[in-house]
Amino acid sequence: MIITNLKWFLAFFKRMSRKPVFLVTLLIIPVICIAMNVVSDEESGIMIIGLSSYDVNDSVYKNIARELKSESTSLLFVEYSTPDEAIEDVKKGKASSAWVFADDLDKTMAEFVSGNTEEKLCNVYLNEDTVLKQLSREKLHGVLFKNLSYDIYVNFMNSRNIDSEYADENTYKELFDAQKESLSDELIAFEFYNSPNKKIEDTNYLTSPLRGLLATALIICCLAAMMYSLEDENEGKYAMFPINKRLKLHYLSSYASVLYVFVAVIIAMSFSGLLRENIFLEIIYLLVYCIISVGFCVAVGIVCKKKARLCFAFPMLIVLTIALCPIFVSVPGLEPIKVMLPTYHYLMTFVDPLHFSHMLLYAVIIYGLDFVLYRLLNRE
Amino acid sequence: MLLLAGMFFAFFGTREEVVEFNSNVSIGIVANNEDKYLKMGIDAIETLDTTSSYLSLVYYDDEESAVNDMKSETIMGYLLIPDDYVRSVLRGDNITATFVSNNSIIDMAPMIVNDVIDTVSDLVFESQVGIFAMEEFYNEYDVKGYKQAITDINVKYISFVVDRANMVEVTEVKAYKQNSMQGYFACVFFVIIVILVGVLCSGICIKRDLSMTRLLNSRGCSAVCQTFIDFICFCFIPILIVLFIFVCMVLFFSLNTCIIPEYSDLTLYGYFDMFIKMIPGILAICSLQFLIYEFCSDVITGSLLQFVVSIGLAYISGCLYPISFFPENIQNVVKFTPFGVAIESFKQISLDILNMNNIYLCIGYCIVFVLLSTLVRIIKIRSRAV
Amino acid sequence: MSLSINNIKKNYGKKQVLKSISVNVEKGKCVGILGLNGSGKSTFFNVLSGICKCDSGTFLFDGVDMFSDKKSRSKLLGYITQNPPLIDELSGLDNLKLWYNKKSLQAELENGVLKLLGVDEFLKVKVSKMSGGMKKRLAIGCAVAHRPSLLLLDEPSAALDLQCKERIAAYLTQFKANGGTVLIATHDIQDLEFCDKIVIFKDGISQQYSYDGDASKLIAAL
Repeated sequence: MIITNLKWFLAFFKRMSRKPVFLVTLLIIPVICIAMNVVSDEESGIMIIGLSSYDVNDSVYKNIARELKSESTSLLFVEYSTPDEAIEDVKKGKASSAWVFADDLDKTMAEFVSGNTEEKLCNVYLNEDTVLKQLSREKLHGVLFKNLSYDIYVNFMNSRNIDSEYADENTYKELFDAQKESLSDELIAFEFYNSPNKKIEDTNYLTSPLRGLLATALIICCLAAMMYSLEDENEGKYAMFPINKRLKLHYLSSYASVLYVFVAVIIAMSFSGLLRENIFLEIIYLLVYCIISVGFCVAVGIVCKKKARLCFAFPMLIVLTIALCPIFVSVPGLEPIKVMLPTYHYLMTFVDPLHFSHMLLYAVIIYGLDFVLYRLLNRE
Repeated sequence: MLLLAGMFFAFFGTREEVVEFNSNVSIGIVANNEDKYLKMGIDAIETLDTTSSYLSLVYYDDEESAVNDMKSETIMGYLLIPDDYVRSVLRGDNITATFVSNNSIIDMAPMIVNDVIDTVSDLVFESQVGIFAMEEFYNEYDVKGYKQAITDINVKYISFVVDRANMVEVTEVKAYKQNSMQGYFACVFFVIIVILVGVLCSGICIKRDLSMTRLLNSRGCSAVCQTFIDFICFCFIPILIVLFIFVCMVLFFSLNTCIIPEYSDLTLYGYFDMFIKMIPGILAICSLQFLIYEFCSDVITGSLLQFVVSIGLAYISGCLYPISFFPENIQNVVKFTPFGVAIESFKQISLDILNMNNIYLCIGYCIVFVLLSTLVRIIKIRSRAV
Repeated sequence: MSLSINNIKKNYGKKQVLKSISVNVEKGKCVGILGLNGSGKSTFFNVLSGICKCDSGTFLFDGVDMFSDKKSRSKLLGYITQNPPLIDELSGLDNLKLWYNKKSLQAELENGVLKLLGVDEFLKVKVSKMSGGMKKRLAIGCAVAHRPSLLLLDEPSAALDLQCKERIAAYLTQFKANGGTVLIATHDIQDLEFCDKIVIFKDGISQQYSYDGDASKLIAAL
């Protein structure tokens, strides 16, 4: 029996290799991932913020602009030669907001600290103040405060009228710089839960949906394999098998297709840097995902019974997967529907490795369901 | 099902709950409740700091509760403050607190939070530098009035930190006509509906054997004529579905307030005008799908290829992420892809600022893809394979 | 009697497709089953092959109750459906490998049933590129891999050229000579000349018919 099953598996495997469109799809998967990986290296951001100054040659402004452009991970800073250009782009919607710095920032900061001026250090122009923009302005506050801190200190020292021969700006600066060197500036460290080695610099919002899309591609190919299997059954190709033996043919057909996609997904993940630190764990999770995907697709196929019905259900299932699973957005609620989707369980192992036990439980349930449904709906 | 989707779209277009999402970010704090300095600091943040308008803090006695809430997405993450943290900062020992973020698949939220964490760190650090520099001066040069000076400089720095928003003036400018978030997603919804309808029509469009095609060809109906008629029939269905959605919109939005600014206050003629102008965009998407179907000989491979191409193009065209998230050169390229052109024309149509170049581009794509489909059909008719 | 099928009844919901079907024949004989389209010939074969269950009736072959002894049924019975159960993307040889082991495949290709059917002439051809006749011969070759004693053929000569029909007839003659029993559902009068007995399905009931070569009488009887 094992040899028979192996023969059929190899036949289905060979059949899929003779389908040009399927092979093209397998090629497209890693190509898209590599392309997205290349694209993600370019400058991009969740929000575009225009930077300008009333004196673009001001050294403090230049330092601030350089610092903002080099440090931020989520915002894209674009320099404009004039404030009007920056504001114009905000009006057009090309930039979320424009940060226009005062001219002679050094002097303005000193006057601001001493309270001699009402002029602000920076004018922020935006069309709608949202939470995201408020959060991004903290970045502005931080970078301004970095430069302001020295002025606050000097202003304070000068206001004390200290009677000492050392009470001059040179000494103040020396001490300030010395403290900056000696103190540790990492007061709060950022860490991902259960992944202490994962760094925020290594993440990219453009490539983060790729894992979910690859998982969806696997489900798509699995459903396609199930459609072929149903087509074969409807055309009488399984007629020589008793009805109770045909379920295994559906599994063999699906696994043959999934094997191709598994390899394509592994290649895609390795080229796009999506593989977890522990590659062995990644392969295990993906293998179990393949198993539950086959179980799910066979269950859907058993319920649909005919290829045409599965063709109709196919786009709905994929849209449901993309909408409800944490691929692009994390939708709250709708848990009863989410837990029915194998992609949800697979992606949740990324958030919480303990979710792997849910995947195993899902596997047991779905294969049991397959067996029961097949018996109920395909009585001899 | 798609008709139902259209009705739901129209229905939700009147629901204000859709727009009123929770704009506050919740962060957990796991710390020793007995630490009075910490308590003071957190109270100050909650009462005085500008972050209180968009940031809410949730306190936990133990890390496990914070982790559970983080996994259930009640909080975005939690700040784990070690014992004696504040004292160490005051001393300059600077032990590190840790912000633990949810290991999200979607990496946007952690990136934003990381930027804020960096800023908080900078604010405290820069304040420390100034304060300790002052302390160092007073101690090294034996200046009198040290205690008072310490208190005064702390107050000075704290007031600047807490009132840091005062460094900046925020001005709201009147933007040129731009799509609202709801309007943008309404355009995306239309594109997705057209794509889905196209995929569902695979059974109608894909011909397994060419016997009918060859028979028609022999009876004088050339490949060009056949392709043209097939394409018109194929486009008819998504156009009809979009028309139905518009009918639902007219009905629902006339009875309730529309929360999509682009569709509110439209007259019947306005809806009709919008629908007519959307047809070239629909044709551009359908023509690409039609071409893909011409290459396929069975429904399954047709659906498979259709989905893979559609998802890929939809992703970079701004259906799944806003287009502004992508690098500029990608945005410039995507503007010319069929889906990108369609979305752009839908956006402009909803604002009533249609650029005819987009329409020409849509029609151009339509013509090119239909011609290519005709070529494929001719090759298939003349081939020996059945 | 080697083959004894008695009083087979089958309903699909309220519709009674088979009311009372009985076929009895000795070993090494061929029974031709005729009937109009929709008379239940394929349903009858589906019942015998185990694809669907009948509501009542018995099916004995060589003393074995084929309805209850499923193992024996799968060993003794070979069923060739109207649509050849072949995987289109694979070659003839690949399809045969699913049903034969290496040794027996070699033997049959050299001097056995596959040689007789002429399957060895198009082993490397993809099924999708084969003609109807080639597919049918290949399907027969696949169905008899386990050397059944009873063959069910559902319209074996539909859309076949004369050469193909001859090859199939030659194979069936040899099969009968070796003691095999054949049931053929057919519309082809040429096939009837090969049959030892003819049974007509009419309104769900089977009737034996003596064919004297007069086709018009036969048509009237249907």
